[in-house]
Amino acid sequence: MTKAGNSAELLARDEVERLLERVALRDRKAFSQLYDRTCAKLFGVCLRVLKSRAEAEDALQDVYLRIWDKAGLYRVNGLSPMTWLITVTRNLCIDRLRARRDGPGPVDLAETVADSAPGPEARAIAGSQAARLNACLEALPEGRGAMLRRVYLDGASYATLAGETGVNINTIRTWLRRGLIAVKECLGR
Amino acid sequence: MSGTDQTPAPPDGDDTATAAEYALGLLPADEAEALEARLASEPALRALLAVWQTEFAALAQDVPAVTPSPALRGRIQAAAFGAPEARVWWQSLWPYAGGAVAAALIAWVVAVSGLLSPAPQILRSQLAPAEGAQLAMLVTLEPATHTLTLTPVPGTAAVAQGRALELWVIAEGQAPVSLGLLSPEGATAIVVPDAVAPLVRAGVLAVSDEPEGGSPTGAPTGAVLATGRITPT
Repeated sequence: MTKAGNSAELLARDEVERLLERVALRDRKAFSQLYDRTCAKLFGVCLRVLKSRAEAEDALQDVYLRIWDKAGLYRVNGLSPMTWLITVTRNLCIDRLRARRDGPGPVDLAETVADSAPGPEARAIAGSQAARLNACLEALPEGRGAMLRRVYLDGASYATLAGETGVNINTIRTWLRRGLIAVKECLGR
Repeated sequence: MSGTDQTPAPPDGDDTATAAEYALGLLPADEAEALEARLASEPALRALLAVWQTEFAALAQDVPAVTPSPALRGRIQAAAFGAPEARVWWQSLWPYAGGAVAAALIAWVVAVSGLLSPAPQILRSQLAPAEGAQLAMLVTLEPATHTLTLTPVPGTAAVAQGRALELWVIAEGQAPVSLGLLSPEGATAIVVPDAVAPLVRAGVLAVSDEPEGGSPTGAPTGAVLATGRITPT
């Protein structure tokens, strides 16, 4: 789990946590401060998942309205404040993406097939939690780590992956479940 | 969230993989519901899910931050705050009470396991300190007799001379209803009127600081000191 290696990270975590507590009490100033403190990070996630600036801005609005309504709930899930914010953001964006795909109009597969491996800059964060997870994902055979990354960041479903690879959906699920168990073991090392 | 796939292979029963699939939104709807039903009573499963959510959130840490357009800030504030409104403190309890659920959940699990046995069931929960206060209370409810028992956590109750602790129940969208005064030392048992009993199960409990003898107005007048629910949302 998150072992904040430096005090700046801990301070930032405390700050977001305090702001969330005040937002739960409907403190408008705290809400605006939380927005200023976190919007770029969360907007980056929206943009990464939705790949459209207009849609990412709509999604970001949904995200902050959810935060305004549900800030009191973040503790229930045992997540760090930033993890909770990112999880809310990612899930709302994936819901949007899936609604768009399942809705009218053709599924634009092209935009989701892009390589979603982290760039060299991100890889350089050696020893970070992300680096550890990426290493464990890359250790999986036959690109299954890349599939899992696409599930998280592109909202790929088992059906999507089956369609793209031509592999039976049951087989894909069995692969990825095994992959997830292997990732958990790898992270525990 | 759940996947929209047609039901794929039956799971191998491994919670590690199932919790991860849930975190990723890959579980078929029926399996997602089954997992959600287990979460309330299985702390280990909740912890496993939190581990996966934290790990996967790290993938988003790699995503570069991008500043949204400046106009969005005002748009979001307008949508969140809406028309100016005067909120009173008990209206703000609804979002806040969620935070108290975490602590209550552990106690609640104990109570829920009692549902399975024929023994008389007693619900246990606790009230957590409100912001700026330190009062915490243990609460039990014996549904058969509508008896609420409140006991301050030792060292957390301090009542000034001429002041008293008053217990309220607040149903969503309604004004607080007084349930009576509480002793700052030791347990206070309150038999809740039948008409109010459903409110106690569904609403938020709050303790406020009031003049000796209780609120003169019938509504809370002093600071809220502790809040919580007898059953989780």
